[in-house]
Amino acid sequence: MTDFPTFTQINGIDIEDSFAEAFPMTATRLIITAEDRYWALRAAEAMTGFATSVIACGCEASIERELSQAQSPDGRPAIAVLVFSISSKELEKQVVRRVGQCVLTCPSTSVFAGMTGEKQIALGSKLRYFGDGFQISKVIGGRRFWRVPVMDGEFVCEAQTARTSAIGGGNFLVLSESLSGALRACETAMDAMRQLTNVIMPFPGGVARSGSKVGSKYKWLTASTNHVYCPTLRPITASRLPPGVGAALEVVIDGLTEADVARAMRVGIKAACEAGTRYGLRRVTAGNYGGKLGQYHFHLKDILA
Amino acid sequence: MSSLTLTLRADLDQQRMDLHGIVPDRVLPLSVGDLAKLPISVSGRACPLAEVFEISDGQRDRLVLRGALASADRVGGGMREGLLIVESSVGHRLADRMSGGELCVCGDAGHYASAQQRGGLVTISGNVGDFCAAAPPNSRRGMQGGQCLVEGSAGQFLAYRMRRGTVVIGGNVAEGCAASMVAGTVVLFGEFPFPLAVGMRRGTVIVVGADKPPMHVGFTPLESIELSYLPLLFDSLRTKLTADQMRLLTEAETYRALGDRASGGLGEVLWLAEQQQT
Repeated sequence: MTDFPTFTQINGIDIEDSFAEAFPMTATRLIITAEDRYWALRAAEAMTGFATSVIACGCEASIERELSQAQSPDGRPAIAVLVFSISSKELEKQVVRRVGQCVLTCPSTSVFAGMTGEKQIALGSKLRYFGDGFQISKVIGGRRFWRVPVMDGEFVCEAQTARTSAIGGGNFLVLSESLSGALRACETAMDAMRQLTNVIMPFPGGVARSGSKVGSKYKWLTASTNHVYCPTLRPITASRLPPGVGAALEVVIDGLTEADVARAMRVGIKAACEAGTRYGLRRVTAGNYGGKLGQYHFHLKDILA
Repeated sequence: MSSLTLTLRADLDQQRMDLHGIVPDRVLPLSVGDLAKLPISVSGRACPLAEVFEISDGQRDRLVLRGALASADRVGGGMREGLLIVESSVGHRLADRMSGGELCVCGDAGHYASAQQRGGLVTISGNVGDFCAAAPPNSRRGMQGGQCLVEGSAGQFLAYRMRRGTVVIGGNVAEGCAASMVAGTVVLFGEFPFPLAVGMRRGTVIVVGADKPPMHVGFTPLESIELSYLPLLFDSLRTKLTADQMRLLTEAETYRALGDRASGGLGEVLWLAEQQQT
């Protein structure tokens, strides 16, 4: 194993002198409301399903947080979701498809823009055609809503939502003696990070086990397993796993700003490390591509300073 | 220190005048000297503002108009932002082409109030004349945006061919209410004569009361319904209506009739059935 420098320790756990490499994206926030929390959550979960990576899903999306009644546009239980994509065109396509298939279909729901701004993408202005001419437009407080008749009443959907420039691909890797230990450390990190706003962790449970590198021995494949972090390949590759490490997991973060991503990384790493010795956590590092692909570099040394 | 105030000279209170453009976004940045020279139309001829109003300089946070302004037309005309307070009744065509800001009239307004309003908030503490928020002659469109809140009553043809925006009438309305309405929202707390919303194309008329309203033959029967957009609408009015009015809106059972089907319309009349206090 090649020895990579560490610059500090937190709670006895080595922090590697490395950085996460992240990419520019565009994002929007939607607010889904429903008759009760159960249905709002079902719609939000369905809408953000199969949205772990832009590599093959078209977008990265997840639930950001639950909103209080005072924050809810119509006073009903409300869930905020964030959707990230690589272009405004792709973002609009994904938002319209996902809201159309997963929220419009879910009983009692309504959808509202969760952010304001000059850059807009279509939402209800495209979905309204489902109303087959019976849809009704309503402008309230300068915002246009579409009321689409459905079998349980009306689906209320804001005509447009704003989008903003954002950052995708912030990350850190948790290297632990065992898989169970790595899982527990990540779960602890996720519990802390889910309290934050403006960020999502789009992979299942917020964690990816299939960290990838760019390219492959197969020419048609754009990304493949990051073999230097695979414990089963340690004897035959230039492994980056220290001795005694049996599993590595990656927490991936998308955020609306650099500060949001950095804050989430800091909170997650500190939470993992504070609980880490119980779970055999040995080292924390970050994933990058040598700094050549992504314009945003989150150095652990700076983030944890 | 009081705000910049224009007081109509007593000898001019019978003259018809046009106050389009005497609005905060245009007047407040001017010096008193420039303001004095600002031309306004009195009985069809241009006069310097100082010949018609006494100018009392003050804080530039709002513009106040005083005097017997019942003959002043197009008050608030062209207003885009700021606060204009009129301590009097006003003439016709209030808020003509107003697109933003807040206009408060402490008194009555004449005909065609808010008829060409495009945005902003107009509040009238008294009554309004005919064709409030309605299409004026030679126009196909009535009010096109913003909110107009009237504490008193409204004359004939309220919201005739109204295109967008919200009108709230605290008192009674006369014949022709919401006739040929194209879109927008009208809220009626008082009484209205039959028929209502004849020829309505789209939009929403909300009537509040204990008694089931008689509906024009072109409308479907009133049926009980839950509408999830109503909290959004009521929330937009929350700070502008009285607590009693908000209670009537939010605690009522909702019934809806669609029409006017006789003219192919898909508007809605909502009856918010006032709950009897036990």
